[in-house]
Amino acid sequence: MATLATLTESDVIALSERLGEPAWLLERRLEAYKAFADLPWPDRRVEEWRYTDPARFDLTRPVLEPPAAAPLASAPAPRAEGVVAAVRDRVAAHVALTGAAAAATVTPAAAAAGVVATSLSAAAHDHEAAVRDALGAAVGAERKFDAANLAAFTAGAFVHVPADVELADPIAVTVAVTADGTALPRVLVVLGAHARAQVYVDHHGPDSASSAGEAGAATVVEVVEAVLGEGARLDLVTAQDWGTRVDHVGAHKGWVGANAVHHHLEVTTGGRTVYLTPDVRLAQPGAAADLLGVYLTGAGQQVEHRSLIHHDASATTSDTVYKGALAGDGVASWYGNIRIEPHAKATASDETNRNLILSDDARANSIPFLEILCSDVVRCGHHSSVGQLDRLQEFYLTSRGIPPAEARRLLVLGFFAEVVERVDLPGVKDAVLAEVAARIGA
Amino acid sequence: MAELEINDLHVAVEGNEILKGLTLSVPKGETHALMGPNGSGKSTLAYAIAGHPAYEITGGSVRLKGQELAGMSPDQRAQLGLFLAMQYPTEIPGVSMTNFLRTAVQAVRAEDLPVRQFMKELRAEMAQLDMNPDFLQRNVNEGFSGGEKKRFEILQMAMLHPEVAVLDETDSGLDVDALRVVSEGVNRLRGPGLGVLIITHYTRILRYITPDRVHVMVAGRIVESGGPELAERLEAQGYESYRVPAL
Repeated sequence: MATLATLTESDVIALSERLGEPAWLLERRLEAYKAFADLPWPDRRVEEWRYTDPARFDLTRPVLEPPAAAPLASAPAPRAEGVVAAVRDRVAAHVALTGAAAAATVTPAAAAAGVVATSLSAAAHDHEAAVRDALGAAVGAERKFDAANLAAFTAGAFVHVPADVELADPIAVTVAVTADGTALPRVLVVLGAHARAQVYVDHHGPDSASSAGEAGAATVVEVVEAVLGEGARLDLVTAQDWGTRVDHVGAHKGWVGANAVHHHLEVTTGGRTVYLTPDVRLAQPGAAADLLGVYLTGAGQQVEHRSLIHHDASATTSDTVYKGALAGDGVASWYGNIRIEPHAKATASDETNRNLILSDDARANSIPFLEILCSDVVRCGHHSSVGQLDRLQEFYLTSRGIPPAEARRLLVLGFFAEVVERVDLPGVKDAVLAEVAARIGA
Repeated sequence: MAELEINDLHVAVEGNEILKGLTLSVPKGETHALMGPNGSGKSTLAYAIAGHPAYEITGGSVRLKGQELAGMSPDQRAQLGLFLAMQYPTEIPGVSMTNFLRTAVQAVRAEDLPVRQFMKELRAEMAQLDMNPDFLQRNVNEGFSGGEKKRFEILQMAMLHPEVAVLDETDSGLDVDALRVVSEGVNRLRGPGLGVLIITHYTRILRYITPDRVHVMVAGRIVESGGPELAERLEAQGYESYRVPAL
């Protein structure tokens, strides 16, 4: 049985054959496999892994085997929990990646508008041109885990909103882990010129927290890549609501075309280890990104968000705000690098990370970084803080009769308001605040 | 029995004794003014009554409606009927004024006030205080001017129906118009069910709110008490005559 530690070229060939993929996709996988084989496994001595020990990812768990090629099943409605719950009854399309199996449903109205939501393996046949162009365009095979995913993704989702289509209802992608092992899910979202869409990516499993560590010891090596054509707008939420024995390394990246807007929210609440690179490449003039994040850590959890905000064209703008609340002995790290290329003139960018420490044992690392290679910059700022609840604010609230626990709840929810108020995705704000309230025990 | 009864109160901040045996009582329905120069311990008294964690009661007692406040948490004191209008109200980003007020009203007022009734009452009180309804969209004290913060304190006092209100330098930093609006707000709330202690450095606010009694505080103790005429004398003579000779 294949594992990441022992992955061979023939494992990749067998996987692609099992999924019934066309030859061109196998070629892509094998290219990525070569990169994978050439790259060393990261260790803590490299800067990118200073704060999260790569040894936390068990590479010996067997790679989940996808079911042999069969007609794509219909996806059920998204689950009634998490960020997607409020919109589950009105999604335009849903792709469900469960373990290594894929299922997809598109409403007739969305299909009539040309919206595609299907498995990557099926799309490689039916929408070859679009998939060829976009697959790996945002997240390639430059890093070990990214290369592993491109070579050996076990289940994939392909979402395409054609040019000029403005989708009113959201698209959901569910990535569920239901069994022990290694899952390599991949999500590819493509928006044509001037298309608009809201995409909810819901990572979860195993669902029963009550399994108390009995099931769901999983390694997840995952990619969400989004490619935005000229003038497109994507509102994307990627939520990590894993069980307590899931270790997740993921690349979430937008490739943003001219005057397009990539609005991305990370919500990381679960998992034993979560290491994410929520990157964006502002590839063409006028591209804009809002990178937002909310994270909660508790006992035994280690979470890292490491963003490259890449200004690779003129007049591009970005605004990054990540906020986390840390309890128990949780460790959260944030690293944000705004890189402005020499040819990227007149850019505006700002990054903020704030951490609220709620216990004696929690720890936060907060590292804003700027790599400004261009002298013509309109604005570039960074802000970072690690602190506790403000005692004066707590006194003010309690002096009005509000009990201490309720006062702390108001303050923690208020701490996150700066991020969630900026989220346009229906239901997400309430879901995030409810999760925050539940986690701080109020 | 006085609503607020302070007896030989000693309070220390970071080990330094600021109040050194202060005795004062405010009977039900009365409005008292507590005046004194800077550094006499006026704000210390306000915070100690409200239960600020940095202010330690080291001796004596503070009773509200006969119950000892020392040992009670700030929220318990407020639930018992105490309100402190602060000199420097705290900004709380991310917490909306409406949410805050509703939470506080629910915690303090025994009745179960339906949202619609709450909003109606809130709008009415805001109108009385010349507050723009846009305030409802804002966060607690965030970006408020000095005058707006003081109006908001009085709005809270109106909504929380306290039995004893301590106003700590509510007049400071207010222009004449704001002072008038705030004073009218306090006057409207005065009545047989409310005892008020106005802490102030200046007599200005006492032109709008006539106190039943005036107390002068110097170096952590009350040095003189009298009727409203005492405030007028202070206006003319200042605190010079109370100056404690340097040791």
